Amino acid sequence: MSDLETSQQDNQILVIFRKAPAGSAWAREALDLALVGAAFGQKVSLLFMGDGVFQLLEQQNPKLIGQKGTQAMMQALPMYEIDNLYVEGHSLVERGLDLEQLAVNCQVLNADEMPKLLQQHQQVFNF
Amino acid sequence: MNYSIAIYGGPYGHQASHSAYHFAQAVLAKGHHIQRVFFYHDGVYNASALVSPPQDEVNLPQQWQQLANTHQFELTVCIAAAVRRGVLDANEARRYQKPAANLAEGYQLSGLGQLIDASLESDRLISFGP
Amino acid sequence: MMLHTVNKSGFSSKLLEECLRTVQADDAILLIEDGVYNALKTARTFTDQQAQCTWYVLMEDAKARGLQAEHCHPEIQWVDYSGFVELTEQHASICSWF
Repeated sequence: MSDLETSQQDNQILVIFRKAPAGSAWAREALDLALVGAAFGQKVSLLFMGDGVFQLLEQQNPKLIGQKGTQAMMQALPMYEIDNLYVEGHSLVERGLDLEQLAVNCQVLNADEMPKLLQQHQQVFNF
Repeated sequence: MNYSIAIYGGPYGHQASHSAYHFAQAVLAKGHHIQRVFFYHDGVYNASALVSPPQDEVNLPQQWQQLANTHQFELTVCIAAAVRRGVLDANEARRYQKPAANLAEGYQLSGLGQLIDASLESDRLISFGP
Repeated sequence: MMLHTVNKSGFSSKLLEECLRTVQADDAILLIEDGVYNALKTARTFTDQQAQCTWYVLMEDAKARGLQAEHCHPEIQWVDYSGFVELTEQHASICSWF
């Protein structure tokens, strides 16, 4: 993973998404924090792992249960210059998901790359 | 060192705010400085003036007030998270035409940017979640 | 060098497993709140863990729950809140798992 190797300590904020999307406000409020971080001029990266990978699924329809969902915000990430999106391979495999089922382009991280990603960020917000 | 603390759990339903309070006391006992305690997600309920536990239980909102007042640090509450959950200061109560405001004294509503700011300005930022 | 705090029991949550997939050798793991149950000798996650981290359990939370050192992994060090603060002094980055 070339950009994991080369960007030591350049990245300031990592937001980790570990909770499933609809059952709680975590996905939305974690994403809010990521956007505010970027608006503050910080370099923000996102990591999806655990049940957080379900936030990435395409064909979600949160309106059915009276929710706004995070899909529109996810599509706006490039406008905030948030383009380092990572997903843990282990979590995908565990849930039987592959990249084609995800609505957003993410880089898949293997077991060795996970600790590296955390270490290269000065601040980790873990939701 | 300069510390900031983020709290994401309410005052009664979870241990998070209790743990954060004990941690804050230990930080101060070691001669460190606390810059800001930031309340987000359900942590915003810590800032409700209406929290009324029985007398033999801790009143965390009040304890935070006293600690912040003694040691001069900020109790900052995410305005977006708070307003959604019904924790309003006088300004917001007016804006949303609500019959009352309930933000406890010593707390202030502000933007989520204050949490980002704390992560940049403090030597340490530690989070306590539910 | 990172300090990870973990606040859920591995008997009912995958939180510690998720944490362990992100740690590296010189990291420290502090078990707090319901995370202290991971200190029990019968907790699988500790014996399986690959990473050579230093493990701590928060004494106040462990004692409050009736845990006794003799039932816990001897490799896990007991610290009080003052020791918790010292761990945060030693580690510039803190990652809270909840």
